[in-house]
Amino acid sequence: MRKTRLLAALLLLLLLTFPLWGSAYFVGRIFTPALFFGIIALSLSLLAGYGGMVSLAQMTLAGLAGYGYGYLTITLGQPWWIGILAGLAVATLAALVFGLIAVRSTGIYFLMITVALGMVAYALANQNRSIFGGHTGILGIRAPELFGHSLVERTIFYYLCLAVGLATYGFVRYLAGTPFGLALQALRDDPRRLCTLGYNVALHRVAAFTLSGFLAGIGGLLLVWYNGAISPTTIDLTRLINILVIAVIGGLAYAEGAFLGALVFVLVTNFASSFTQRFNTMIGLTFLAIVLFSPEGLSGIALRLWSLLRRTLLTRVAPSRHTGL
Amino acid sequence: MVTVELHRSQTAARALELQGVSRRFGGLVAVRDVSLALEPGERRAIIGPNGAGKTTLFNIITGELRPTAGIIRFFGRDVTRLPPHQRIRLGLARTYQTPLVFPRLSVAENLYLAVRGVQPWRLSLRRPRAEDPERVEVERLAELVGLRHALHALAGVLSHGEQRQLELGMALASRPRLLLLDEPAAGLSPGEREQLTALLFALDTEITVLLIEHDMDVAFQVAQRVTVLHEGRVIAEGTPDEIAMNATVQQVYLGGT
Repeated sequence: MRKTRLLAALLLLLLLTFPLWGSAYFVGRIFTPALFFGIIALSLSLLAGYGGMVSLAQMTLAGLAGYGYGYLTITLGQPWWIGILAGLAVATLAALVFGLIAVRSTGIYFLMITVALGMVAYALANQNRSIFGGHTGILGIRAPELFGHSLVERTIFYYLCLAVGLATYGFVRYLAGTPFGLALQALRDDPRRLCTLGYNVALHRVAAFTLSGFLAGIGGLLLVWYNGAISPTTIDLTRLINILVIAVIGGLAYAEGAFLGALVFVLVTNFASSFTQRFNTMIGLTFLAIVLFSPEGLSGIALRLWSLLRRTLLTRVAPSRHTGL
Repeated sequence: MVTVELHRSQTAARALELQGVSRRFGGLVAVRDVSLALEPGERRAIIGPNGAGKTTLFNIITGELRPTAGIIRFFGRDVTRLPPHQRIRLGLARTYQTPLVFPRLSVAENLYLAVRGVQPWRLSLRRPRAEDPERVEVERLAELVGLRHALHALAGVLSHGEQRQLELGMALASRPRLLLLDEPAAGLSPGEREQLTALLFALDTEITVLLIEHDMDVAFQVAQRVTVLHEGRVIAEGTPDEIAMNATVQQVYLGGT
């Protein structure tokens, strides 16, 4: 326990000081996207890891937040804070509607319904010009400016994404021990039993989905600030699947996995292109290898390595404490 | 008007009342025109051979299955159309033939969920604190069913008997007015059976108990009245002694069909 905390503290220190010693490219183009993609994937980890609901619509919800922000700030010319509120509200409300439609089904059927909903949103964005801007989308979206600095300036944006990433991660971890989170894990294991304890299982599924939409919306806002534009491409089928790939690579059941998977994903998409043109094949192979060799994702591998390391260290240094663990 | 009031007060006295309840699965009639009335505080056993429709009847009472015909009243209130979670909140609790607990949650968390399930704000986003009344209640329940030592163990690693104890604790957590126990003694060792019987005897006498039991010792010890189900029908009802002497029942149990 203490050693795990020590490791977490070390990791946090590295992340906090990263802009001081990391290259500008790694800070701005690798870690920053990894953080906001991580937040979107985290909304899936929450649903899948706690609630057993694998959704493919998380990128759609993130994208809708981006559209909401873009529409309010660009098309309607409203200030950024109204854009943020509108973006989050749109993502949350869309998740509520998606949830009401999807939660009656489970497993692969749930997955397929969320894909269908995602595709409906994609088609709508692609064809509607007045709000979504059609095929072009909404261009020239600007991040908020505070004290004369745009929030997307490299170092500032890195710290913003890091802070929001840590906050959402902390929230999801905290949620596990709350009545809401416990009931969510219980319905993953046995929805019928949860029902005969007095819980409205369908309502709880909808609530969890809505909450995940809010989280995805936060990630979506950071994404749209980073890109400075949003178009239907942001929420096409490939992008939807990418979020699932990220979460599975990292370990679907782990909140940490969302960020770990996002980092690996961003690294592969950035560097695979320098030695091969088939980076989708690379991602596909990475995905396949993870699913085949460690269904728990990289988090599973990391946990196993860590416990192995801890055990060998402890037996060497203090064999008497071995039984205490 | 007077007769209506009279009728209402009569039915209100009943903890549970089934009127002509049937359930078909396609061509199969699992429960056929069953009527049953339990007085508050009564201890009733349902016995019958395999496939007699006992568990189906439980599922109908909790609402997990809709009856194809008939009316279910719970303390005078018609609950026939009410979904299970709302019936549970009215003071109904059950256990299952194979214990249903949440294997990846701890014993304490299982009990906590059961306590919270009948309270408002059951989906709160605030973590429980040590001094919360619900947490105190969890410890009392663990003590009651003999799982105090295993509070932080995962429910999935408990033995079959311990899972039964946990499930009983979860059923009692909602402070039910009517407790449905589906074969509580199945798969228990003789020692565990004695503990169970003692626990059932020690239950608050205001709690109405309906139990399905194959073990006649447990059933006849705990129950004041016994209902015999056979091929979905009630074929006999009476005190344990009357049932033990009943010729039809003997024929069903000993003489094949």
